[in-house]
Amino acid sequence: MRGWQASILIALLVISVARASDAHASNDPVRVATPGGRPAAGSDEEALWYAMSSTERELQSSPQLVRDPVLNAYVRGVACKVAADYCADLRVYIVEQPWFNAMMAPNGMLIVWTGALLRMRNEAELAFVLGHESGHYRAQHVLLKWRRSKSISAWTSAFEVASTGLAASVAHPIGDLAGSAALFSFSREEESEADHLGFNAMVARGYDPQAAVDLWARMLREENTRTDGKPSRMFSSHPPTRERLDDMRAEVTALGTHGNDRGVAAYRAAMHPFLRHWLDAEIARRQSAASIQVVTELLADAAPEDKALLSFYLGEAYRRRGSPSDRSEAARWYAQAIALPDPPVAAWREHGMALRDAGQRPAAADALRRYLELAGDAPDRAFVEHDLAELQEHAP
Amino acid sequence: MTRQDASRLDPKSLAILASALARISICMFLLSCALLAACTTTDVRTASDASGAPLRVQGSVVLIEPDIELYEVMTGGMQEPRPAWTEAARRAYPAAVREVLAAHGATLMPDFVPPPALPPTDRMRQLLLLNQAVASSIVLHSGPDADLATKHGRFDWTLGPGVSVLREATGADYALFTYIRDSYTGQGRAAMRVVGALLLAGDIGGGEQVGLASLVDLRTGQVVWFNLLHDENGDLRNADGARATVASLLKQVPL
Repeated sequence: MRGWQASILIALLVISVARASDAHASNDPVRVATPGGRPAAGSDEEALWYAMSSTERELQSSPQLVRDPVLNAYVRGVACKVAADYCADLRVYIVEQPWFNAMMAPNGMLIVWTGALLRMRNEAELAFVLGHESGHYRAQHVLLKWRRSKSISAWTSAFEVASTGLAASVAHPIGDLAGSAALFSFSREEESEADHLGFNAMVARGYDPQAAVDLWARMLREENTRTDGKPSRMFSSHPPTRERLDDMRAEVTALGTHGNDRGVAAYRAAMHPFLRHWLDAEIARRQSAASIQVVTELLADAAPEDKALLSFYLGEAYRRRGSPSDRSEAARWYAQAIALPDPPVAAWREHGMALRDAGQRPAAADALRRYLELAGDAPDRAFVEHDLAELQEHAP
Repeated sequence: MTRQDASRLDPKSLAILASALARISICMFLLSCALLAACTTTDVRTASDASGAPLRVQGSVVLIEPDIELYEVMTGGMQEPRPAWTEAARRAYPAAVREVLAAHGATLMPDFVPPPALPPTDRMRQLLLLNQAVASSIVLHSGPDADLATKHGRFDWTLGPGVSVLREATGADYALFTYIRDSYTGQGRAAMRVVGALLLAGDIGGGEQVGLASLVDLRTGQVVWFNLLHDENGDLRNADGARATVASLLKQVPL
């Protein structure tokens, strides 16, 4: 027998030993999901719930948890509509993170990031996302993922044994890390199943299913702003957004008649108090191309009272990217912001700075004076006063 | 849902990364040990007074609720938590600590369990998190060539005057903090080890016990004593095993 044949034989032998010995193989059936269902005592599912409950306790004391009772009640209410019988099994947490993400832990801890709330337009989209997450819960995807990881890990280990035994002890923490981080990334089939469950739950509550298509189409447009080999490697096992968008389109077509409730007004009213804070966090991600895309579309879809705020932040996104053409774009959006009702105070400062850079000194000085009038004891007051004094000194 | 660059700032990933870094440092410290079969190592540090003499404990001691988790090592090396084992260890460990400290003649205050669900800015919660950060730093900077230059070779760490909240809550002069992660080889992993040993005459590793213990002066915040334990045979699931672990972990505690 040649060396490589012997290695493969040994690896297969090791794997079969391993598969026979683990208490829960990846192909074991999961329990039949029922509302209020709990893991069997001593099962690997109970172990997962246990691990998640300590994570959940930490989350409850986290400064990143959004505790606003009105926002929480609204998001939880929508989750309950789509989770239906499983409402009492879910605990919804809103976490301050400026990316689009939502996660479903096996024990019923449902996490929504603020970046996702910023990127949605209406209650129907939120219902789809929360329906998708509760679908993961119902289908027990994390448990399946954990069992798969254990057997994938057996392959890795067999490889380590067959190649170098010493590597195993050193590689161990890294393998563990990758395993933990990957716990919430599901297979294509599981994501598609959750999409399907979320879609059906949303339709059953009378929401407009087109919202699912709109959401994925918007996410695809944002994803397309990435220039660094997309999508990120960590989540490459997800179905590409393109594929999920096509699936949702097909589901809508197959549906025929459906409800048309979008819940735009209710959604806007719930999110409005947080918009400025979330836009600050969005700009602070320092992914200007994506932010320009996100804020441009938010502005296009915005309520009239939010247009000034969004125009200012679009200016900020261009200014942060900072190419020569971006600077003139930024100036244009600051000018629009102050021309609209109720602009953020900082729009006057940035408008003034943009005018100064364009050589329009008297107008720049006017804008900075307006900023100082409105800004009260802003921390940058002394800087702006200094800039204003310089402008006035060099005035003709 | 899709995740766009979620990994980088996800607090959970950061926490995992931080704990992995700590574990890697422990691993490096223990590399020499990894080549030997079933060894136990400890790394005891004791603070000194102004004259350079090792500090002695003078006053009462309280055991702060130990942070203990037990796992089974699955075939491929992944660790699955074992709540029943953990519960047993959380009973056996404090009992063994009380035995050992009483034998040393220490004055013991009732064990302290911090209140659950403390808000993020609570002083007690902040202090417990600070203790975790300081303990991680001690581990990171205790290996050869890892000493901080500003320490000038001295064991000189403190939690600061904020420890007063713990003194007020417990009435004790010293707090004993413990962190233990303990894992046991499952059947699949045991089989894998045999195969590894046969093929390579080497050990791919199984269960192991990693423990940190520190004694903090609640009048000043100073960490007066610290130990890092690594043991491939330890077993916290029963009273005898817990006694053996505590004997190694509280070795040379300056009572």
